[in-house]
Amino acid sequence: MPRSTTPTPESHLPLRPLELLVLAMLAEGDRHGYAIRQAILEHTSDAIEVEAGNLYRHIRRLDRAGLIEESGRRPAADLDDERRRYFRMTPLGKRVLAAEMLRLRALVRYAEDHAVIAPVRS
Amino acid sequence: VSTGTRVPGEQLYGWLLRLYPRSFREEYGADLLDFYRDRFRAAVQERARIPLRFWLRVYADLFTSAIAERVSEWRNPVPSTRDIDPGESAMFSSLLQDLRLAARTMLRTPGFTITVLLTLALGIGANVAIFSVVNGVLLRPLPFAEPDRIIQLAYQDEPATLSEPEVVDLTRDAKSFTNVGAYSFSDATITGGEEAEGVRMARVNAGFFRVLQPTMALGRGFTADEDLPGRADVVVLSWGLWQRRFGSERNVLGQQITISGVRRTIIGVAPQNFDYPSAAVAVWTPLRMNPDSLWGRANHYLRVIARLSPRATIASADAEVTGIKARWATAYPETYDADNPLVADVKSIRDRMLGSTQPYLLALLGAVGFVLLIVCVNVANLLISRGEARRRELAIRGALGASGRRIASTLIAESALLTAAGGGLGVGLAWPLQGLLLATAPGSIPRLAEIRIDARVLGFSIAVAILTGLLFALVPLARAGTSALGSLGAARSAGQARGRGTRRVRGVLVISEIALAVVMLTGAGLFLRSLTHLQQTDLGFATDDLLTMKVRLARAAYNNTRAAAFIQELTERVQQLPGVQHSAALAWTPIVEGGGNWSVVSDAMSPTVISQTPTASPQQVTPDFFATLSIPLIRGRPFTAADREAAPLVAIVNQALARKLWGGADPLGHRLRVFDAPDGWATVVGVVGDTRADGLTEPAPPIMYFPHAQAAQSSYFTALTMTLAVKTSGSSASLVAAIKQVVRELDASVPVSDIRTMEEVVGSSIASHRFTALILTGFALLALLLAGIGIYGVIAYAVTQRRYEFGVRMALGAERASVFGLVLREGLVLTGVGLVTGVAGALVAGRFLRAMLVGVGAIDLMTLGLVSLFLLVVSLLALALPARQAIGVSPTESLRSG
Repeated sequence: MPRSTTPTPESHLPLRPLELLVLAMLAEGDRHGYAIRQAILEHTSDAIEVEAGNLYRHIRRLDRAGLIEESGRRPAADLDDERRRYFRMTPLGKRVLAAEMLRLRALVRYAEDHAVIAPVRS
Repeated sequence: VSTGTRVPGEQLYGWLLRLYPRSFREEYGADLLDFYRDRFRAAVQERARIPLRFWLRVYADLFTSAIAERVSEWRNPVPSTRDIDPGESAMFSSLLQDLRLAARTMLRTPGFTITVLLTLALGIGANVAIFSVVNGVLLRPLPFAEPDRIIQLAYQDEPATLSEPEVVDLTRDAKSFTNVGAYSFSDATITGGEEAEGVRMARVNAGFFRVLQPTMALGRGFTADEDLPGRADVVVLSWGLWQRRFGSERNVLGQQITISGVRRTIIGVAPQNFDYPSAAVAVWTPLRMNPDSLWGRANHYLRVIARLSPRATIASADAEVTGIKARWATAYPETYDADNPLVADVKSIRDRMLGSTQPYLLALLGAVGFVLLIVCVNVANLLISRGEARRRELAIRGALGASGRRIASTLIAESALLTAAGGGLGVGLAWPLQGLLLATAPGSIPRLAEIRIDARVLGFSIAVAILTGLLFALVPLARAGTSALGSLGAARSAGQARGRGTRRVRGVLVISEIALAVVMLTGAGLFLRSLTHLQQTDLGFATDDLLTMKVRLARAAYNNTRAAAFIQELTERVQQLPGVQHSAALAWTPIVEGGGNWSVVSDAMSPTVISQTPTASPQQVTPDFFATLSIPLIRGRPFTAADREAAPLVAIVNQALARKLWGGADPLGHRLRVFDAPDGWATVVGVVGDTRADGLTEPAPPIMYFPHAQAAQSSYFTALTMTLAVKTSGSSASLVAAIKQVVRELDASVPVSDIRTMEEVVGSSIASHRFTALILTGFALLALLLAGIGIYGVIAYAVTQRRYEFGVRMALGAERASVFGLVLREGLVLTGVGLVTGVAGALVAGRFLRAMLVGVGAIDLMTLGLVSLFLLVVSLLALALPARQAIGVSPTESLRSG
């Protein structure tokens, strides 16, 4: 149920921390809710442990904003034959995620320039 | 909906999803359940047992996100999608429906509802009120920075206090402390307003405020410089005094106030809740130890507090102080007796302040918890009886297609509604109950001003209400699970068997009620017994018709001679007042004020060091003292007006001191002196009876009495704060004004305060005991009432159930007496089992009360016997009614209606 009237990516910025995480975790491919939680755990060194209610509240917001959408129900690979609802990023979602990441990269650069963290030499 | 196998807790989780707004539930309810299942299985895989943390996280998330979603929905409404299957919709919308139905049911049976609500409100209200006291006194943080880093240092035995050189040494040597504070109390008079005001004053060193670090309302504490002799006179005011005398003016700093004749500059105002070392303290002034001429090492008069340095613990500080103490013993053998060492005792300031109050409050909290348990049992009982009455209704609803789960959720909604309403009423009731508690609470309980209903108390009430709801809903719910399955037809035929099952459950409930009541009555009984013991304690002096009040002379206006003359004149003039039999003055009030513990030397000994001398409490009195307090003169003579300043020094000893100093020999004519006063030899002219001057629970201390007029020579100093004791004939109310008038005529600047009868003085010393006994008794009687109602309810219900049976028995020729006996027997079996269980429980509970009991053991057969008898009588009364009903059954009528 997308309700956004201004589809420019920048109008969605900045993302809330958990929205950013959910979007980022969908970059790898479609996931169902519990899989999103597990991916977040993995990529934050177990620091962010999100629970159902909170997660789906954010999924709902992202869905309404048109950044993600349902990609259908299908059996989860590792769980017998229970059906799970999967979510995927919309093209708009991908642009918003990219815009947010660029914003973050600028922030990381700033920190590097001021010797807060060592710059990555590539 | 999902197809997977169910996991534990899923149903409850699913039910609670109703907390989310409908649209959210419709969209994601199933996903949330899937998530829950995955999460649960993963948690099980990780460990065999699901940790508490899992449940906390899952439900905390559910509640918070549901609230958050509702808030965002409310701010940003979404139309609900209707295209979902009707079953799911019904499930989600049924919560509201359940609540509506429950409300209707409650309104339809107002008698039942009111009974349940009142019972719940009483139980919850009493719990909240008691908890608010526990919270204020024990749980609210002390008004100091990092209170758990503050310790109090004392000696384990008398004297608990330290001396000036000891404090100086500690401040210099102890690495465990960042600051050491020392203080002592004294009385002071504030003049300059319309009326002189007597207050308590704490004399504190510069370390005092640095140790406690209160957030000052205005200004600051004392600097090290201000604590030196000869510096400007400064003072810190209490919040209360600041309000009272300065109308909370903010520009009070720098103003002057005259305290005991000294003009002092106000440099700070303590925060509102700062009541250290006592709530009575109105001013803090610098202690001003003179580093060049400290008082003697054996002159113990300072109380000591300290702040632990970052790495120190109470144990390490205790070890260090013990080490320092050992060095003193070697360095000053004349002060410290190697055979009888003073043991240093480091305790957290919290333990010192609250340690004596804590067990009483916890006993009350325990008791009020028991009341709540009984309330739950009673409400469960009521719900069961109502459940039985509604069996038919539920069966009809079942027959019409309501699922068992649906019916159960109706019952849950009812319990929830009852709990919410009862809890709300209970919290409302907590306010007046708390007021009642505060009005009866003894002033000796510390931090009474901290007691209020705050967020934590409200949180506690909600937790208690929810717990209560769960407890009392559990039993009927478990039973409804089976009842709902019964069809309409089966309901009737199964009635007999089900009735028996219900009776068994209710029997167990009644047994537990009786057992709880026995425990509570026994606890209350033990307290009442020790209270009686205390009240019957022979004090050694008469308290009736004895009026006491404090008179404070300012040092600036009264030297020793003038003070003695004033006190003598005062007692003589009061003696002349009509209605006065005797009047006397004494330096400290027995029971509530300590007389101190001074080293004394008799002519029968030749001590070289102070540690070898015996100790006794010195008391300064005027001639008529022994007659005024009716203390028996055993040998010799009392003091007379002739024992004045220039006359030979005399003393009177009590029997305890006579024994201590001269053994069996006749003390008359012997001499004694306080240590360090080589010229103070006083001749013993009389021996008087012992008095329990240190309190009702303490043995009579050895006391040496000196004439007030000679005290400067025989007892170091002449006391300036004296207690005036007046033996009246009959009512003393009109005398107070006359006595005050006499004082005013003598010197209008002398304040009169603490006007109390001696009976009040004695009563105040056992106030916490009386308070606890009073409240415990109240709770126990409430428990008894509830248990009585419980047993009545069960038996009355059983009688109704068995009307048919009784009818048949009597139609077949059974005697009325045998039917009566049948009913009684059934009830008495329950009572008996309850009594036995309760006595066992009381024996266990008694162990916790032991430390608070005086003159009665934790296992007191008399109390147990009386309690059992009492309960038996009450249950017989409760049984007599239904038993009479049973024999009133008309055989024909009961057969017809059966």
